[in-house]
Amino acid sequence: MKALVQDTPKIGDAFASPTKQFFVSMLTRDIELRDALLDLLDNCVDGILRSAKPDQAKAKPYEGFRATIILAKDHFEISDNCGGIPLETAKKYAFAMGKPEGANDEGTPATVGMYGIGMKRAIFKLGTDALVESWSDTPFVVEFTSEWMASERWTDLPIHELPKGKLKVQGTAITVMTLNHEVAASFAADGWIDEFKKVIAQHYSIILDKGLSVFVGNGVDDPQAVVPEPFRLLQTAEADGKHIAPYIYTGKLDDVEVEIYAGLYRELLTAEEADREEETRGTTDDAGWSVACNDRVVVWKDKTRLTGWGEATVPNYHGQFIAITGLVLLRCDDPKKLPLTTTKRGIDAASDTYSKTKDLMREVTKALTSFTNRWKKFPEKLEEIYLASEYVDLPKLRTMREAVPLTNLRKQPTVSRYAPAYPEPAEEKTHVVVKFEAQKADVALLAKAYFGEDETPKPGDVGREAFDRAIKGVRGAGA
Amino acid sequence: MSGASIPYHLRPHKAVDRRIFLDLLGRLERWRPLEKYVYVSMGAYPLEDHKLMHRILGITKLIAFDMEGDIVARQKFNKPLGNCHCLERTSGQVVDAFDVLLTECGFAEAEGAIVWLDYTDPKKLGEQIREFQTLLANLNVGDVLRVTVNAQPNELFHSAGEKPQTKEEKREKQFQVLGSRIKDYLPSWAAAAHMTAEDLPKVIAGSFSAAALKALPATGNNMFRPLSVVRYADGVQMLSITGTIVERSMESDMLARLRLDTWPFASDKWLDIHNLVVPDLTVRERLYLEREIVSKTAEDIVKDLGFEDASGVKVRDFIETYKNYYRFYPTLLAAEL
Repeated sequence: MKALVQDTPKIGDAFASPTKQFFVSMLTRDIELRDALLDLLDNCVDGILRSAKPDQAKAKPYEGFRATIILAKDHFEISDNCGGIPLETAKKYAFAMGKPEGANDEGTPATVGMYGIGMKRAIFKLGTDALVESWSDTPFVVEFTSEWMASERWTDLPIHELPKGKLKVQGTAITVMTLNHEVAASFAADGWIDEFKKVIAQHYSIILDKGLSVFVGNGVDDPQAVVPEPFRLLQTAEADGKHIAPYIYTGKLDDVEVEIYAGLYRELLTAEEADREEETRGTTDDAGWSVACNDRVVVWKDKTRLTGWGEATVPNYHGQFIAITGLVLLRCDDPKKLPLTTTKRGIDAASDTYSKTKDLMREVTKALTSFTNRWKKFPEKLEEIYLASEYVDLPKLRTMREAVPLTNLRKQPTVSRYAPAYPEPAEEKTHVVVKFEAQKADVALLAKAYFGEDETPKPGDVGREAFDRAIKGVRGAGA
Repeated sequence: MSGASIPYHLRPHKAVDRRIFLDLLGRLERWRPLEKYVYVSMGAYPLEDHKLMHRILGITKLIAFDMEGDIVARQKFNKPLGNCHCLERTSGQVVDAFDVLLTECGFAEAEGAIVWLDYTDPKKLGEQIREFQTLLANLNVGDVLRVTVNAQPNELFHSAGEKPQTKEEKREKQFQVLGSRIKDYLPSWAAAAHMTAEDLPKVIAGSFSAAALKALPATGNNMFRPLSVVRYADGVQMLSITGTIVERSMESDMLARLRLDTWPFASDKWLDIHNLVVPDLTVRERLYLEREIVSKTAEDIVKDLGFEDASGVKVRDFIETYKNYYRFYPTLLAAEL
């Protein structure tokens, strides 16, 4: 075997550091612009957690905190009143690429920042000539000049004192003065900003609901507040102990607190609507699973294997299941234990905790798809089961968790479950679906004969009427 | 009430809207010649727009389609020239295989395409906006796409029960129905309060803008530039959006050639929506207006006419816009042939 340390004389050094250009292009290639921008918002939330240590038991722990994002044609700006970066943190960690040793010892609980690249990556993605101004204990400013961005050297960035009064409140402001071409094109395109607001409304749904205000503007008009996209499930009144209601799971898997809420959020499709949906998608659906890690939604309404659809005995998602939705809340003080990816979009599917969580999600999905399949044969009866239906939103779901009878799971004894009894179609045992094709002209002929000129009954109604008359005729003849 | 109850080619708003479209295409000719383009639209049984495309712009490559065999048979009888293909297709089939359609009709060599998706069914807005997006992704620079959709709040939902619902209840429900159809596309500012004749077109236009951005993302070379957005009511309110695909870098060049600043129905943005008000006029009224509308003030015209209200439309209100479209007003006369 060759020796690892050579004993011949050294004649030079081989350049082995990452080039800045490589690093920047690698880092920014794998993240979409909007995800990079969300990273900056994540820093605002982490700022609140670090500086204010808000009481999470309150309904609106982030009340009073706000972030304003300006996406102008020629510059970018985000400013917040979320506590700012302490000078020592700035010196040691905030501007480093990745988290240096000791960075996690600050004791800030349940953040979503875990890799220490969000802010830098966002700035690289956005452009050059960036300023980071912050005031927590000592107001300071750090500049990312275009020269620094272009040079091959990873020289430290100088921290300067920030003139008094530059920041009105304790917080952080990041400005990017020269935007990359792709970024400027996006900010200028009709509708891009509005789409971005919708992304915030979804991925920040829970955090906005907890009181954080996020304003987004285009640099010309006044910034507008983002309204959170609600998560809610249907609940109907109980009849014979059966009703439509949310499934609830709560407990701990490994060190991660898990809550799962799933059920229906709208009425099921009738067979006819479902057929049409197979042909061309015509309705918007809120179906699918959402997953939040420490309140930050990382997967929004997913309908793929990532959330268990089409795995094991669960059918693949299709139009028939348009009414099924669920939310998974994962929470842990140590974000490394959460199945977060660096872009915070999607899930680290290799995570063991997530794989256990997904077993539970599949169980609910399977129950709800079975319910849907059983009822699709009896669309007329379906309306009856929605009587007195009401929406239950997330805060209410979480209080419901305390009130419903929970049972521990055999396989995961640290998790308990509430599985409501869903209504069953009584006709299931006595009825059968009759389905066949007929000549259009013949259907029209019967329609005219049974319903007259003025009505335009559906083919199914005509068929039913024909069948009913035939039965009456046969029964009458037999009597 | 439905627009379909009035014969298609006799609806004055529709007729004026169609002529505005042709006027816009006339402007587009300043940017690129349209003669060798292919024109594709539903056209209904009279093929009114196909006739005009041929007569006014000289377009000979014409395709009409409809999902009803009977209507297609009637189209075949009414087609303005032998080269007009009338096909039994749904709009979905047309947009899903647009290239195949052109090849099938022998028009693969056309220099460009003008497509009018003239929808009527308000229940299918979800399909319609997705078809618009699909087709946009298949069109080239210079192609023109026009879409007409229902924009009547009451068509989303109206209370049928005995007890009348309050305005707020109704709008809430209408917004919910709209959301169930096109939530992925709705502008973030849209709310139940917008479910009015004035604002619903804005919400729908904003949604089509989102669909256009999905088809042609901000980072690509090309964009869909809306050129004219018009709402009008023949019984029910419709919204027509017309635009073209242009390279981002050539947008201002194109606009300069079109001189849209001097064209009254131009829309600089998706939400610049023109309201087309077309009252039923008698021939005598119309001839009088044609002579005087440019030279006299609205006040004087009302005085001369001696009435202030024409078929439910305030004369004073419409005179301003009438100036912009009187050239297109159809003269409908009873004739014995």
